[in-house]
Amino acid sequence: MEPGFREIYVRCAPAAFRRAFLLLRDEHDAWDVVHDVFAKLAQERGWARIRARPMTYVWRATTNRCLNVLEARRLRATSIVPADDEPRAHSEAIHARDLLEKLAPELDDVDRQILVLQFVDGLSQDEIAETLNLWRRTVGRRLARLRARLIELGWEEGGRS
Amino acid sequence: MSDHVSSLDLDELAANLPTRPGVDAHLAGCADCRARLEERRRENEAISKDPRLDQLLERLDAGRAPAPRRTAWPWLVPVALAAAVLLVTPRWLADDPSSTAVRAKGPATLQFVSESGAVVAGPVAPGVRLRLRARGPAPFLVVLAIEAGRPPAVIWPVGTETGAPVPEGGLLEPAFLVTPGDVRLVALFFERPVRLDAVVAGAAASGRDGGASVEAFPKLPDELARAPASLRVRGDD
Repeated sequence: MEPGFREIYVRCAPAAFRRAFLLLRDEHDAWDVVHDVFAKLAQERGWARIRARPMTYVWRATTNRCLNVLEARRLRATSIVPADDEPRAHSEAIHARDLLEKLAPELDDVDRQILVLQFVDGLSQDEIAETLNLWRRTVGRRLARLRARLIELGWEEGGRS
Repeated sequence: MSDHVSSLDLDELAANLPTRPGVDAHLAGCADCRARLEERRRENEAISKDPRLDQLLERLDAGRAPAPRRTAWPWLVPVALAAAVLLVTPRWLADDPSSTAVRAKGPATLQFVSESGAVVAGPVAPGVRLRLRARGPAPFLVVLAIEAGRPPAVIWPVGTETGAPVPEGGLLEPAFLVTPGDVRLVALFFERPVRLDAVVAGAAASGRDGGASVEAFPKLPDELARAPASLRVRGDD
């Protein structure tokens, strides 16, 4: 196997597992996600394209795969909980979980990922844009639309409702 | 940089990968973030000792095989070899997908349109910037590129794992540049957001002629309508 792929795996797989476990709360499922993420990367020989910032790809692919797993389980919202050391306030992330549960059926994949990266991970718009390979303007517009929809559902900035 | 470093920053730092500008400077002055980084490194170390990490790498080594790229244009690289078969090859320029679903009345259509919104029937010159406009009786759309002898490739939507809602007005983002090459497109409309890999797999499995004939391309599961489109580049005769 190409050293580029192996190096990316060695450096990023622990983070992929940690992230998958954070979202899924199931060790077996989390390892399956890690396998899927890197198997796809290897099969598509995509590692050369992501060398500059491989972690953003790993985050994006892992988040997306986890959301698919959660959707398949129909446990999407109730399984997303913040790690204790996450920078977001616990109550705010829990609130985001509830809102994700309400919103998920009407969101596309990109919106779901943006919602997780913003409200569970607390990433900035720049980081979300880089992680999802989107324009910042696109992220901003989608976030504005998401926030408007969240407010309709009773959400307020800072996790109050 | 504002606030503390993010979880993504921490993962990059813990993996000794390059990070965003300003992260190192913030870290140097923030004891909290340094503590979080140390904790993250300890977690990574513990995960790295898990035998499943190496077992998984062995499985990846054993199972690795070249596979077709799903979303990229496979003919971009050998474009110089395609001089004898000149049509168009879109190269996506921007990423600005809309997500307002539209269910149009009437037959499904897929059109090439100019910057001014005029329908382009072709032939066109290389370098022209065009967009696609799709309308159909179902709200979710996937656009495939069909080329004889190659697997179908998803060209829209981008950055997602499933078909996306048809945007208001039907104009698909991003725009693309016409370049020499051979490409035919087909817009597939679905009632629900089907998985792109399933669409590609279904199209590849059912397209016994390699997708050479869009009309002969069998209906996919959950497909409600389709619309083919092709465009030729001036000077290709």
